[in-house]
Amino acid sequence: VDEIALIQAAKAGDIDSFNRLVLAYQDMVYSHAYRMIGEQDSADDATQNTFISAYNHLKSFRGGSFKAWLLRIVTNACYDELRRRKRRPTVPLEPLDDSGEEVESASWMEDPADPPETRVERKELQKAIQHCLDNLPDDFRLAVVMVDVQGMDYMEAADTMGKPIGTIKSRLARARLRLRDCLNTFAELLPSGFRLE
Amino acid sequence: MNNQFTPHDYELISAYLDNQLSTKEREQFELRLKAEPALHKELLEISTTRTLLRNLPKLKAPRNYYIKLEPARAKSRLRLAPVFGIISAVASIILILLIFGSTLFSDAGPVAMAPVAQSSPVPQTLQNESGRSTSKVITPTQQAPAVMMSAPAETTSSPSTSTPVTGETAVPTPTTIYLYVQPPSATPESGIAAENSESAAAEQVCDVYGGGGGPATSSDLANCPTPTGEAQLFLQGILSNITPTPTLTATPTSTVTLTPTPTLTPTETPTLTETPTPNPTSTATVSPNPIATETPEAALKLAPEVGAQSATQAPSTVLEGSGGNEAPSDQNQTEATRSGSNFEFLNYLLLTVEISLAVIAVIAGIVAIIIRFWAR
Repeated sequence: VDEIALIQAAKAGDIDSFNRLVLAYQDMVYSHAYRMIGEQDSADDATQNTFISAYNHLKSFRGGSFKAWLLRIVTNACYDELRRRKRRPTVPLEPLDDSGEEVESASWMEDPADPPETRVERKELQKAIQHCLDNLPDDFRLAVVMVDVQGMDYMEAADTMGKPIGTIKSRLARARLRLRDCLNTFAELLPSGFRLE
Repeated sequence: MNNQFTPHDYELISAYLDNQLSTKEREQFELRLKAEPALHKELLEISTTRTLLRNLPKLKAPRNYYIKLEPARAKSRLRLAPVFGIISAVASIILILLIFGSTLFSDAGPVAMAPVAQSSPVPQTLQNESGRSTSKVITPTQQAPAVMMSAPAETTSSPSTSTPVTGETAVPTPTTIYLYVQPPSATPESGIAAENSESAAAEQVCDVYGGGGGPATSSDLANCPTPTGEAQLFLQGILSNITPTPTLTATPTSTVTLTPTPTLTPTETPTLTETPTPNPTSTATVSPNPIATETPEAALKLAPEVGAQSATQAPSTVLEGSGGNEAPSDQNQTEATRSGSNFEFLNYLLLTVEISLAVIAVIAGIVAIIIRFWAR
């Protein structure tokens, strides 16, 4: 079904059409929120608030890229959540192992269908990358998530972030450089073909 | 970071990887890559980092984020709850202000002072007024009743002006009104002396009525201490008409001097005139100066009428100073009745507004509560 037709129907009050749009973009929105915030529950809240806000302000959508419009909304929601977390920093709860110690790895969330070794390596690498992303400044992280994680070009990223292309170029280059330096500390986690040194 | 490369070099590397360089820039950068192995190494590492980021798995949403219509509508309804709450609060505040305002107004108003005049006989009232006139500081709440209390004497004496009084029946009416016309800041000694003489005259008049010395008119009886409430009712009607006059508070600035001259002359100073009337009781009438500019407007309006009253007692002398400003009593009664009806109308209007505000406050509050429960 044409996306524009769904948007027009949703604007006219057809909530089923809007829910079809939700179904089409919820993974992208949630992934973006998780990469920006780095925490599942907060990403879930940000995703829900994004679609509620999108539904309430659907009449303000003047055309163009619906994906970019949604990413702009979820970015604002992520910034709100990050500001809130900076005001009231919290320590995420980790599951406990059999000895009562906190399990630092996120492998307890992994699909048990994968082999244990592969599952652990993959999760450790993803956790290392997410850790490096979390250590970036918010603006740098947003640029690298927009371009490298979401696969947007510079023009779309600039439109979504509301910044000039030159700013996007500069932030992206510095973010990649910092990520390279960060990932060098996790060299043992990287696959053999991806060793940086 | 390798110190031999600038941030611009890393921007070129990043843009080269993203294919964001122009053809000319790309050619120049590729020439540098061939010439500088360190730059080529940086390019590989940044490219690996970029590949790792792009190979991150696409996360699946832990659940569906469908929008349900009911919560959306409930949310829109919930927005109305504060509006009704604010309406209820504002109506309640206005209602409270109206109730307290009307209560304070009625407490400080002349209606509350009226029973004092009714319950106490005239001489005692005169004594109170004399004590009030001797006080150095006079508050507006003290001044307002002083002038308002003069209204009944003024009106009750007016019927005698409509019916010419013969020399024998020209019994001096109670002259308490003259004491009230006198500004409170008058010289205490002269004021007290005049009031004492006035009270003596009033007592004598009432004694004459009681002893059957002459035909007592209703206006005369109204000035005597009587348990009936006619004077009170009449006074309330007049008071409601006089109440809004704000110029009464300016009386402390005026001064009245009493000069015992044998004749009443239209001089510019108030005079104390002993009128040689056929009545054996010599009454001292104080005729305030009508041209005294410092006298408040209410007192200035009242002064000629005082002269008119004295004209009923001594037509030969007082008519010269009265200026012919007699006020017909029928007109006063009509105005009193009209002011009374206006007062009642205002009371009904106020009551209607208060009831309306109460209804609005209650209904809006109930609607706000219902909306909040409904939205759950």
